[in-house]
Amino acid sequence: MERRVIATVLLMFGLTSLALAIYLNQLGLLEEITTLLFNVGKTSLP
Amino acid sequence: MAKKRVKKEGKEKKETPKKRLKLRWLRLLSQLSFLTLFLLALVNLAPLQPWIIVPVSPPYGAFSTLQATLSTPILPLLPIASILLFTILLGRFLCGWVCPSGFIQDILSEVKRKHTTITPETHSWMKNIKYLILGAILLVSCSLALSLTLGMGDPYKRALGVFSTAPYTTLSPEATVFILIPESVKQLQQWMATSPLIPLEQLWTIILQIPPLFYIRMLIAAAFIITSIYVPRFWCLYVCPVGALMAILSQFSLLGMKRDITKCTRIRACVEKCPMRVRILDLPWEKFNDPECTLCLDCVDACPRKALKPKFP
Repeated sequence: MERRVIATVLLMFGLTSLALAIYLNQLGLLEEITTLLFNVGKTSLP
Repeated sequence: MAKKRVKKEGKEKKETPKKRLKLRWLRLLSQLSFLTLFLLALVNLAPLQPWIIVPVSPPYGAFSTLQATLSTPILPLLPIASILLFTILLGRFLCGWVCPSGFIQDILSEVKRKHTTITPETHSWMKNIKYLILGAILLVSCSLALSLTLGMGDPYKRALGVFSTAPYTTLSPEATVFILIPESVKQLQQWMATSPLIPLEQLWTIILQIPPLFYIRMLIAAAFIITSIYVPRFWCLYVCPVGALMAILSQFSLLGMKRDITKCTRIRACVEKCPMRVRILDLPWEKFNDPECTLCLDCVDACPRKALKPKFP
């Protein structure tokens, strides 16, 4: 029972984060972040 | 009558291996499909590239995005949402059915028939290593985000150097296998095309010019490969910080496993088959969400009496 309550709270938190991310237009940042991550992957190239 | 019984038994024996292979093959197919998608995204062939990297592969993609977003510094709402929603709904299902590095480990574990056994004592302390790694990564990323927000983070960011953007991704074998090695091969090909023959002394100078981080990353990737051959899912069990984060959250997951005690004869076939060493028989039968369970369903395949099955919610 306790676990279900925690799961519901975490789910609500996740949904709120998603809604906020959409509201704050963070989806537009994804491409930039992906490029940043690719560069991190290549960091040690000579 | 006796002949009929023998025939029936023979039929049953023939049918069982087919049924056992079913779920494992389905999982391999799923892992292969996601690996293909992941590779297509890496070479820019898949449409909606960031959408595939980030939300479809939360075990790895969302964690890398979390670190990179913190270093910007922006509140990482999207990776938090992705990790929370996927893990609370599906537990560590994605570790077992989607994660590309999990798939590589599963393939590599087939190389050797007999695997190295790690004693339960060693296993119980070693599985805490991944939580320490996760703690260290979150400490670095969060402290950097906080200092940057307060406007004092630039010297800290400079001090962290290459580790400032995404500390785990900089060293992770996934990034080495999927990005660094293909990029190095591409660079080597271009270089060979321009100057195919170089003197031996010059080659030595070039080798010395390669930054030490390159060798460290190669060593980590080699360790990842070798350990996966000897111990199935070694990286997931003892090192992966993404697995650690999902392990903490998956205890509250809606998807779990159920053991039917009317069918279970406690022959331990499930426990012996489990690559994540979950002590299934010691867990509550109604529903269990072990932090290590990746819901690979190998236990379902292994049980001759079909006593195990997934349970939602």
